[in-house]
Parts: sequence; structure tokens; C-alpha cells
Amino acid sequence: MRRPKVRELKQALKSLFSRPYTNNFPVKPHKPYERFRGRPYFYQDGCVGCAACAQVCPANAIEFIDEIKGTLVKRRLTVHWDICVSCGQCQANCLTTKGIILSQEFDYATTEKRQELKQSIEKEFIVCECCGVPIIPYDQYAWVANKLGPLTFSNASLLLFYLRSIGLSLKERASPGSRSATINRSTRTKILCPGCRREAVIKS
Amino acid sequence: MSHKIIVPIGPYHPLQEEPEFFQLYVEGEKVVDIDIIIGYNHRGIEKLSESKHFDQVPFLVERICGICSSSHPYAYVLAVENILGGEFNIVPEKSLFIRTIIDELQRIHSHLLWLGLVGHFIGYNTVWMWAWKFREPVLDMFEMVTGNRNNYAMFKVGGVRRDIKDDDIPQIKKMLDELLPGIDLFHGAIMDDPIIKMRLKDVGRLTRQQAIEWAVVGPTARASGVNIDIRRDEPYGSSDRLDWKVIIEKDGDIFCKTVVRILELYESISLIRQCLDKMPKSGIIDADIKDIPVGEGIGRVEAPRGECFHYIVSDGTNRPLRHKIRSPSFMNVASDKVAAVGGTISDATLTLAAVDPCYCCTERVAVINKSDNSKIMNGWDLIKLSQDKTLKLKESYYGRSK
Repeated sequence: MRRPKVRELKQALKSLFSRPYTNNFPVKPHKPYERFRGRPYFYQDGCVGCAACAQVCPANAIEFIDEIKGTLVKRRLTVHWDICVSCGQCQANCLTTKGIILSQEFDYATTEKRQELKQSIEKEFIVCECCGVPIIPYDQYAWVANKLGPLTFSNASLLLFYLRSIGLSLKERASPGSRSATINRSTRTKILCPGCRREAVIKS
Repeated sequence: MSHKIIVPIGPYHPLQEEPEFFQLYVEGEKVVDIDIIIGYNHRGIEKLSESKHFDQVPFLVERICGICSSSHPYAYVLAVENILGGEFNIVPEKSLFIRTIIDELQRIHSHLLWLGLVGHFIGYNTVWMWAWKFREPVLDMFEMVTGNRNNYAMFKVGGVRRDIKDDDIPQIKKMLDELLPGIDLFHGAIMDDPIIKMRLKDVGRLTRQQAIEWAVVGPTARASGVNIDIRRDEPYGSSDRLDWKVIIEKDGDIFCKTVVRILELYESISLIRQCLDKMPKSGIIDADIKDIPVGEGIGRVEAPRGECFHYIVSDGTNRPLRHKIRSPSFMNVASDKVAAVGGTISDATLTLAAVDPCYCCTERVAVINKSDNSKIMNGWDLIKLSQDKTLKLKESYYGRSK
């Protein structure tokens, strides 16, 4: 009967003379562990606009919209923090590993509406110079060209794009919806969508 | 009807988690019957799962329960790996150890949580505070290793998503070393304290026969002397090559359930230590599975509350055709029908909580006694009743003047 009381008394005394176990949170900010999964952020420089993150997101928190703005086609990628579950799938599956990165921010509280809890970035599209259909974001094409290296020579559109990006070819930019008259032999020296490429190869 | 009718009134709010409703029929103090009503919180997880591809489902099923959030994804990946040819055939060596470590860490934090709640229900609020204080470093370890305190996002078909680094191992061992005195304290306090013994012994008894008839699982069954544990009966992870034993008690009352859970804490700590020692220092953690073939598979995991069961049918596409989930509480809660009947109202809350359903399940108990001044009680009143009984026992044991 005596022993249990002594043991608990010991613990009680220990607790009495130790600092409070709780953290003094708002005064002393909390620092999460290094690998904490927090709020994800898009990075304009790292992101190539491939939208792989939107495909793998289990909560459908990332959406992408391709829209025509004047003479440009842009892909807008948006991460909705109000439905994000911080699982880290977007970062794990990012093509460049630098496009979307989970920060250490754990505090999602805001005074705004929950719909405002989001971040968007825009990526410009390459447009088919023959039929005006958007093909792929510029950055993603550049990323593919860089990654392939010499293999770029096997794909005409990719090669043309690569030559233009290093300044070896005319820099002309097609606008969406603009349709050139005919497909002839010279069309093959343009950046084309797969459909037009096929047609151009057959007709020439 | 011979017995006095008790009509329950309770607000069912869709936002409250795990709403289960218990109607207690009482005669005076004695509970003569109990009705268990579940199904207020149908979230359509199984249907949602069929609209997600195989790699996304673990994130969904881990949110079924905030406490056993590694058991559900684990059972799911076991089910998918069953289609692929079995966990041991495809998952890399290191992943098996990491999976067991996460599973056992979760068991520690879940049992400590339960211990704290029972302490609260019997009026030992210090037990509540201390148990949850000792639970905190476990959650910190989760944050360090997996990146989140509760939703670990570790399980993946064919492996795990994150590695346990060499720098983490000493920290996890240190945490376990610091946790051990705390568990010793509880172990001693529960075993020696006469009041806790008086309060919990012979309350909410579930005999071995009843346990088998009502098909209870996990610690609830083991406390009644039923020798089942999925970790031993159908080994998964690295549990078959580690040295541990299944804890079994005979009596089936709440005291036994408490003892089983406390002793399981020791086993879990020992399991994690062995895993950390035996885990390969390097190696791949992911088998990189791309396609799931046609077939059906089951996955069974010993969750902190008992056997968690997942069933998957794949038709060769990248989504499950059918996903069936049976969680352990579904089996255990029904046993209250025999465990709580015959006891007093003040024991009812404790009995309902002893099978470890979610906290909010017991909070929702409401009682109206029409014959007796139309007394209305909600969950908090019942907890108060339970705490008062402990106080009375204390006074009668130590004498009225404290």
C-alpha cells in the first residue's frame, strides 16, 4: 500500500519542479522538423507546366486550365490549400523536382475566404504553326530538348524548337487559331502538332 | 413492457466524427438492455476509393480514422500486394522493417490515448494528463520520420514512400528509452492501486464464450482469453522474424483489457527496437510497381483495436473495381450488448469506452428516464457518474476524512 503512493508522489514532485510541458506557442514560434510536410508552393522557375502534380494529387487540390489570352495560350496551374492534404505526392512526382515544393508552413489560418487560399502560376504554350492548336508548354518542351540532348535530332519539331531557343533559327510565334492556307513541303520546317506533322510528311 | 423505457434524445450532427448512438434501458441503476445504432456518418469511402487510382487510395483510407491511420493503408497495400503475389515476394527487405516500425509506433500512441481516456472516465484525470504527455514524443517521432503527426503517408503498393535515415535511429531509440519509465509508472499504478482494481475488476465482463460468439477482435478478444493476433496468425511486415509474444488475459473485464494494452506497449517497444537493430542499413525501399493485374486480394492487419480487413477487386485498369473495408470497432462495439448489460449506469460509459471506440462515440450517450423524473443524461453526465463512483470507492477505502 505504501509503495504506489511513494512512486506517484515522486512523479508528482518531479512534475512540480519542472517547467510546464506545454509550449509557449504564439510567443515562441514552433519550428517543425526538417522533413515536415507543410503547405506546397509552386515555383515559376522550376515548374515546366506538365501538370503531373494535378494528375497524382489524391485530393484533387491542384487544377490546371488552358486558356487563350489574346495571341497567347496559357496554362494556369492552381494549388488550392484549403483542400490540400499535404501528402507530398506533387513534390514526389514533379518532373523537375523543383516545380512544386512543400514548405514547412503548418499554419493555414486566414481571415480571407477559403477560396482565396491558393497560389497560381502561368505557363505559356507553344502553338502549332499550321493549325494553331496549342501543343505543349514552352518550358516543358525546352526541358525535354535539354534532357534528350543529341536525340533531339530525331524529332523535327523538337529540333526546330531547340534551334530557335539557342538563336539559330527565325523566332516567329504562331497565334492560336490562326490557320495557314495549305500544307506543302516547306511546312515541314515549322513546329507542328502531331496531326499536322503527319499530314505534312504524307503530302510532301 | 416490464422494464422502464428510456428514450434517448441526441443531436446528430453530420460534422461530429464517428457518431454512434447508444440507448440504455435501465431499471433503477441497473442496465437491462442496450441498443447500438451506427451509420450516422456514412462518408462513402469505399465508393470514393473506386474513383481513385491505386496509388491515391492509401491517402484516402488513411483518413478513415485519425488514430489508426497506418493500419488502414497497410491493410489496403497488403490487399493489392496479395493480387501481385504476396507482400514478402515483392516488397524490398528494408521496407518490411519500416512498415513494422510505423505500425508499432502507431500502436503505442493509440494505446496511450486509450489509457488516458479510461483514466479520465474513472476520474483519474492525472492519468489522462500523463498518458497524453507520454504520447507526445511518439507523435514527434512520427513528425520527424514521416512528416506529419497523424497522417503518415508512408504506405505504398510495393514499398514505403519515405526512408528511415540512419540519423533518425538513435533519436527513435532515445524516445523509446524515455517512454519506458512512463509506461512502468502506469503499469505499477494500475497493478498496485487498490481503487483502480476495485473500480475495474469484474466490470463489463466478456467471457471467452461470449467473445467468440460476438466475434470480437484485438485486445478486446485477447483480454477474454481468445488467442488471436494477426501479426502471428498471418504474419506481415517483419513480425515473423522478430521475438515477441501475444499478450492474453483470462477474465475479460475492463481491468484485463487495460492490462493487455499496457503489456502490449512493452511488446511494441521491443518490436521497434528489434526492427531498428535488424533493419538493413541501405537498400531500396520501393519495388516500383506500375500495373495491377486482374484479380482479388485481401489484406489483414492487427490494428490497435483489432483486425482491420480490406478486400480489393482489380479488373486490370488503374482503379479498384471494388474496395471493401471492415474496421475492428465494428466488431467490438456490438459486444457491448452483452458486456454492458447487467452493470450499473455508472459502469456503462466505461464498458462502452473499454473496447476503444472513438472518444466521440461515448460522448454521444444520452439517457432519459421517463418514469424517474424524466432525468436526461448526456455523455458528460455519465462520465460524471462514473467518476463519482470512483470517488465513493476511494472514500470507503481510505475512510471519509481524506
